[in-house]
Amino acid sequence: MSKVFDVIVVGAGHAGVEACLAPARLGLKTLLVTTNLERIAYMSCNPSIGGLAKGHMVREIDILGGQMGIAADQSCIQFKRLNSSRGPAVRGSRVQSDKHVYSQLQKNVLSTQPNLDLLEGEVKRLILNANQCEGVVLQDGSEIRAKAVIITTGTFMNGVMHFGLKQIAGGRIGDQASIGLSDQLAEFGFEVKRLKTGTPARLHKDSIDWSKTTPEHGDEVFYPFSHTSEKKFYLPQVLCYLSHTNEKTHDIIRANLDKSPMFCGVIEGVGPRYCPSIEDKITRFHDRVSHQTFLEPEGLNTDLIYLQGISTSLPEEVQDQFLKTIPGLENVKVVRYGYAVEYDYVEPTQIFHRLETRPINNLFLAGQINGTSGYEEAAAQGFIAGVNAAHKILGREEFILDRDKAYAGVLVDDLVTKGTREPYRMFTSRAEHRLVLREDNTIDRLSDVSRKLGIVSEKNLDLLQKIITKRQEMLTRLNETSIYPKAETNAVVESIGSKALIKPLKLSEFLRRPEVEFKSLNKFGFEYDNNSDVVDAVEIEIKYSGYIKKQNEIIDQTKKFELAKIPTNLDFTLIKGLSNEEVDKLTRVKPRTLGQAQRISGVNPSALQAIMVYLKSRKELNF
Amino acid sequence: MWTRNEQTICAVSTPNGVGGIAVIRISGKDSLTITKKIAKSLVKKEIESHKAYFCNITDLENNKVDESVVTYFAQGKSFTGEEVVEISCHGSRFITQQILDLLVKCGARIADKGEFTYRAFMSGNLDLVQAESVLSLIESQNQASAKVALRQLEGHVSKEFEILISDLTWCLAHIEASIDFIEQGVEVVDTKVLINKLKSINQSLSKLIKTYQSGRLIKDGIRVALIGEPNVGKSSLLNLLLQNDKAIVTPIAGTTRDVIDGEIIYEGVKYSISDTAGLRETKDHVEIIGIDKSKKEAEMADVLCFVFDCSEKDWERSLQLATQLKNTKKIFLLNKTDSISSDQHTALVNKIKDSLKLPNVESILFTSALKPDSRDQIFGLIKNNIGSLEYLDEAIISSSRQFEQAQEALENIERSLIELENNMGAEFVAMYLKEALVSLQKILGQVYDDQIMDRIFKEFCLGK
Repeated sequence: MSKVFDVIVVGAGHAGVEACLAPARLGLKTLLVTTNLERIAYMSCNPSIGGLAKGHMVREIDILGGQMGIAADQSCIQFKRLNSSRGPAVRGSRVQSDKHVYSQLQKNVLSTQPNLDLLEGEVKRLILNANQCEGVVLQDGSEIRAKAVIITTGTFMNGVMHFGLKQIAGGRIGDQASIGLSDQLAEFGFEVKRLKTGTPARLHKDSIDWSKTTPEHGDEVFYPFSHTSEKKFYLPQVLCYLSHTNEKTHDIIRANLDKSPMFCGVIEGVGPRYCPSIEDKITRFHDRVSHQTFLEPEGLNTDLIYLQGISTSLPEEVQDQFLKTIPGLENVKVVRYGYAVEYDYVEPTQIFHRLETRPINNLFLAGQINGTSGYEEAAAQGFIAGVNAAHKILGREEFILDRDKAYAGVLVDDLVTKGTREPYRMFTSRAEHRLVLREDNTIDRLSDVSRKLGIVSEKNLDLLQKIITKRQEMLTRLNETSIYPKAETNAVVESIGSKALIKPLKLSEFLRRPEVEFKSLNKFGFEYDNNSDVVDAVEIEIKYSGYIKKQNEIIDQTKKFELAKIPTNLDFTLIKGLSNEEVDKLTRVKPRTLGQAQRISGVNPSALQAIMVYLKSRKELNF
Repeated sequence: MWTRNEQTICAVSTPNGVGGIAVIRISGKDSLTITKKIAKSLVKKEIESHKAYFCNITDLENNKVDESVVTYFAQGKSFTGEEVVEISCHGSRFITQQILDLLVKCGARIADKGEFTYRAFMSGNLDLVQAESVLSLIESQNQASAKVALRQLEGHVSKEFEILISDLTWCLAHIEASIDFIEQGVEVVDTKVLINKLKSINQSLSKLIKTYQSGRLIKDGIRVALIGEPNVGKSSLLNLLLQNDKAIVTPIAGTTRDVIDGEIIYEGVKYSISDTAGLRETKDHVEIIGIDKSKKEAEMADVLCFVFDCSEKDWERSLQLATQLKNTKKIFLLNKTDSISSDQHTALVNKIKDSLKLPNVESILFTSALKPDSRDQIFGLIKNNIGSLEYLDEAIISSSRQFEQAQEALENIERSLIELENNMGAEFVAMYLKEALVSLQKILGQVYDDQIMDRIFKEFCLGK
């Protein structure tokens, strides 16, 4: 193995996989270093991919050339479209995966990827030359040089696991912590802080009385994440099971809170508020007498059941006690107890949108190291970091997705602009332009961007383009075809439960009636190819056109701020009218545009005015 | 616009013209240093914030210019948030100009229009509503408008908006949670609760929006138009109301050809009263233009006063016009009441009541330009008809900007209610609520909008 690479990726989690594939696919010599080659793309916590906003990101990076969607589709053992009763922008696909299949699929992809080498080892240090990163040093002291390094170490940097008041160094059960890297970053002057996350117990399926739980079916219609996947399940589909905690469960937990590391101050890291441990839940929502939990199989050929919603860091004997109060778990056998992990992260306002760090050139960070939570958030960042590392080496322009283009763009912009104090998870509400960031229009949003990137094959992009063209053709036809208030037409109109026409109506207008479904259009002689890739998107575009138009107007109103560039070398201390706090924050974040400056918390509208006035007076702003 | 922010600024803050005392305000980081150059006795003193110091103002050659009192406000403790010095000197234009010249020589510059208030906003001491109220306060020519502006400056209006913003945020947060936390089994607030909450927000908002009606009247004055046939005595009434001889009064019909107006403060409220050309068929070109203008003026008026001549029999044209004009507030003045006997009064009142189908006779008044108590009676009737000045003690919005944005917020909330009631997706409800929230935040300047900033601070006058 050559000891000089273009890109080195440290860590083989969900960020690492995308981070090494992107540059390798762009033709750069890439090396992936991980402490455990058996655990590539391992699902350390829940065995599922997608969900609201997260599923959107999986589709986004799939169109751009990411791998997560393909693995999720092929390992799917239950599929659900969440919020399917709501509007189209807030529907999200989620698969439950066979986690071993998932990991195996990703490992196979990495092993067969040209330009990519895999190496088992622990990275101890970065090779730094002043503020240039030039490679890594392994635990045996050997040096590997590269033009860029991407760190995707997840929860492993100074990771500590908590089982009650007992602590074990490590980023995940069965894996060591990586020590050294974050200390080096902190020494260099990075702000390194602590976060916490947790995972529930894994149960043996044979010890569960399933008759006391409620089975939950997946959806029958499969909407795969990847544009390359077939619309059929690759694996047999399984059930999940619903059960609930009760007062007894809560009493036991309450009585043992003093043994929880979270509650007696052992853990300093901040945990995610939206994914609280069961201890947190019963403390914060003390008037709730019950919390739901899903019992999810971790795969087709495993005995392990994941207990969704009950993450805990209570001691093992307490877990045993309270689990047995949950219906179905009276005689449960715990295979692995729940625990909390505390780990280092780098405050993400210290990185650029391209995910390169500000202080150290050619060093990129992606995933939980940037304070995020979730496989999808990690993968999206891994992909963006991988592309940008490659682009930097190739002398191409940086790859940044706008907030109105992709959730992945919202993710990065939020991180580098606002930083985070708790594990950052993507929500649809984080995207101010939610209605135009839908699953169905992912290809419309991103296929041009993808063509420029050049990771997805021309052939596939042409297929995507065909879908887009078909959508447009169908939209045009619906706008140009009318139905008329003739007796026979109105009879059909009334037969589908709609009001008779009194004047001619374009089919697009007719379709806008809430009770009219696309599939009834053929009753009016509208012939079409029933391809759901085309029809679904067109129907949404028409049915919700009023809202989408309004959303686009709002985007237009704010666009001028997004286009108003702030010079990168601007010295904010020279601007009169900014508070010291504002100067600090602006100097740290170095916003690229007035729009971004506006999103920095603690930067007031008056500060925006001051910056604008300053730039205008220097004729450095076209506004 | 504001290109020289880092400099220390100065201006006379008291009104133009000769007064006993004038106040020169200096703001910026060098305020005290600059002041000390012309108030040398301060150099050796320990100057404390919010304390006044008597001293001589001298020019650079040490010639005495004036005796004055200098008040010092430390940075962070002043109106603008910057270091501020106020020099109270004698109110001669010559002296104030001399002091300003000296200050400029020592490194200050003359403040731009509205710059003191602008700086106060920039420092976070004022929100936008308060900044606007400074303008109203400065411009207020009467007790009522000053009172309204002062309440805005004290933050009463801002507080109302803040409550609405907080309530709306609550609703939005719950809607967002219902979308994003579907998997977590979070208990979502009931749609009915949400609808009621939004309706109550809209009620408060409508109430606030309605105050603009009186806010505007109080700030800009109540526009009253006198209208009627030629020679019924409109001009005499105008003169009576304004207590001067603005309109030429002759017995010749058609004397008033153009619209004549004047302003008067009556019991603390400003009235703009216009006398219009008498409405009649005429071939006189000038008079025709005048009559057209009268009609337009009438349409813009807050209160229309139809004037009838009690002694005249033919009221048809006036009555016809009274039905045509859409203004909601109309009063009827039966003038030259001394020309008829009192038992004829009832007949005339009934004639108007019947032909205009009035519900009662409360808007009808007998007047005479010759009787001084007619003036009080007319103003009393106008005030009764306006009615809305009753808001005087509450938070009132008086700027068209606030009104427009509050209106926008109201419409977006109404739209979101329609979406909710039709069971449309929560994300659509959220979109409208977010827009509403942004409008409300813009009212207080919590969201940046360059056009609003320009619009507000351009209206300011020098030195305020």
